[in-house]
Parts: sequence; C-alpha cells; structure tokens
Amino acid sequence: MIAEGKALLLAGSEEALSQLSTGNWIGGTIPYFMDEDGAVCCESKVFATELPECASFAGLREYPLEALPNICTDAPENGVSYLILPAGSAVHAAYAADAPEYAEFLSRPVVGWVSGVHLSKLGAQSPKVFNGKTGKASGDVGIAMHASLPENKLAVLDIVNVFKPGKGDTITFPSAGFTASDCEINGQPRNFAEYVATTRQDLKLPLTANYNGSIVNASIQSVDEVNGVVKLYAPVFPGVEYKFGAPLADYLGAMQQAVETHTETAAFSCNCILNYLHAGMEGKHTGSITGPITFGEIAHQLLNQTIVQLYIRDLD
Amino acid sequence: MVPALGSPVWKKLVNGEKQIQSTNFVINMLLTNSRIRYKLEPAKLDELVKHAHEVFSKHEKTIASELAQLGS
Repeated sequence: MIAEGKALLLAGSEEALSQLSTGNWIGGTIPYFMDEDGAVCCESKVFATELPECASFAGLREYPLEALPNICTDAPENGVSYLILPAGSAVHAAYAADAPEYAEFLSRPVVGWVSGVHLSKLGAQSPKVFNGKTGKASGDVGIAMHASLPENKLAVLDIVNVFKPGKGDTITFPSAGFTASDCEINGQPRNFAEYVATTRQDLKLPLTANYNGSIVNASIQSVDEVNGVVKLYAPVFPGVEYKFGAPLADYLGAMQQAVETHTETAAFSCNCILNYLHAGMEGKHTGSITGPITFGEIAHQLLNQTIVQLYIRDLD
Repeated sequence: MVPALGSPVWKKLVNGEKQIQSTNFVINMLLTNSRIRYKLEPAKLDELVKHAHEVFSKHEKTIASELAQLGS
C-alpha cells in the first residue's frame, strides 16, 4: 500500500512502524487494535486506514507546539484532518486544553488519536508519532494529514460513549487542566482528591459532562490523597458541570449495545485503551467497528473512554 | 434554511436563551463551547455568533431538525 503511494494512517508498535518504507503516511505507536478478529494486542502488526476514496491528499505536516494552533486553519475549507499526538507530550496537553480556542475549531474537523505503548512498557518506552515522508519518529510533535473533500461531501464526526452522567454530586472546577485540586461539590468548595477518596468513587468511571446531549468524558488517571491532587487523562474546564458516570452492570455489553445503533460504515474509528481494559475487550468485537485502541481519542477535541467515528456524508 | 447572520436567534443560541435538541456531535460541541466561552468572555459574543453561523451553514444539509428548531 505504501509502495502504491496510498495516503495512509498507521497504528502499530514503534518497532513495526520503524520498519516501514517512507511514503505518504503518518503513524502513531500503539499495539492495541480492534480488527475483524476482535480486540487484540499485537506488537508485530500495523493497522492501516486509507483516506476515503473521495478524499484528496492535501498535505502531511508535523506540528510542534508553536504550530499546533494552526492545525484547523492549515486544513482545507472542506475536508478532514487526521491528527496523532504522543501521549504525555506537551503537544498532547496543549491540544487537549486549547483546541476549543483554535481558529476554525469545529468548522474544519480534526479526527485522530493519542499514541501510546504496550501497557507493560509504560515508563520504559515513550509514545511516538511517525512522519511517513521521512520515516522519522518523534515524541514531541503532533503529526497530521490533511485531506480535502469534493463539494458534495462532508466529513462528520460522531462518538459512541457508553457512559451517562450518574445521579451523584455535581462537580465544577475553577480552572482548566489535567490535574484538579480545588473543586466545588454541589456549589461547596472542597478538595477533589479528598472528595474522590472519601466517597470511594469507582475510578473506572469517568467524569462526564453533558454537552447539550452529547456526553464528554474526562477519565481519572490517579488520586494523590497526600498532596490533594487528582490527575486526569483529559482536562476539565471551568464553566462545565461534571458528574461521575453511572455504573455499568455490564461494561462490554453496554459498549456492544451502544454500537448496535451505529451500523453505518465509518471512514475511520478508534477506541480507548481504558475501554479495552475495563470492559475486558480482548478477543471481543464491538459491532463491526475496527481501528486502533488508543491513549486518547480526538473528535474535534480530546476525548476519553469513547469510540470516535468519522463519516463522509453525501450532501446531494 | 440557515437563518441569516444578522438574525437574533444566533445571539440567543450563544447566550443560552434559545435551547435546541440535537444528536449531532459537532452542533452539541459548538453550543456548549460557545455558551461557556460567552459566560467567561461576553465581549466575544459577535465572534461566537459568527462561528455558530459558520458551523451551522457548513452542516446545513445534515441538520434539518436543528434548523427547524431555530425557526420556532
């Protein structure tokens, strides 16, 4: 496929991606995938997504921190941009926190994911993105492929989120960030770590925010009661009301049920490593959805514990 | 049909006075992010209105239900 000059989005281990010849591709490290055989972890395979047939390659570009705010303005007026960010990098943090402020945010769709590593190699190996034109890997920049679409097509992003807001407390935060100390619980100031520990929250359940009916998650990474800090996999924002997600009696079943209503074939999909772990996805299918299982998902903005789907819709 | 940029419905959408139901992810993100930004920076209202009009216009052919609610 690379030799044919196809424009590709690739997901695989660093070792697998580094063996590929150069070409019109971008890649991100991750050895977890949903494929036809179900969810799998494999360090030797590479998952490839081609650009939609109607799409035209419109450029491949690295995004260091200072260039990242231009990602949407660099995109074609009618198209879609695929972005991969290395987990834990400054560009990952910046995109998560700042994307809603970028020019053309939501007007020019950005879809993608956060690269990672095999969970047994956390700390030992660092997540990377690959620039297929040069074959070089980086843990510091984002990598994007822009694609344009004809006038009669529109890229539309959708999500599948098994979580709904629970019946518990309403939580707000005074400032944006991946870490949270101060918060308000039902309007009363409190330390968030102390609240999470005292109320014995199930940390498999994310914070959920209701965006006019679409539910957006921020997943809990760790709780440091000593220092009173909770780390998250996506930032929380001021002005947003959060609730912990309602418990799921059957996490995998809930995911499989949720995807049943999404029967349209997506041009690209990805899922979250937290769903893979907590739902026991290995060897299991989520409908006919295939794609990388990642350390964060991008559907315009960064998401957690969510399936992201890109559709190319006819406007005729 | 998308209301003209000058229609008062856009300000009402952004400031939360007008609520619409949607299952469209980009529309829901737009409405929520616009309202949060308006609350934090009311001076950005015109910019937020322009952005909302732009996104609705781009998605015009896929958001019939949402557009119908704008008119009501």
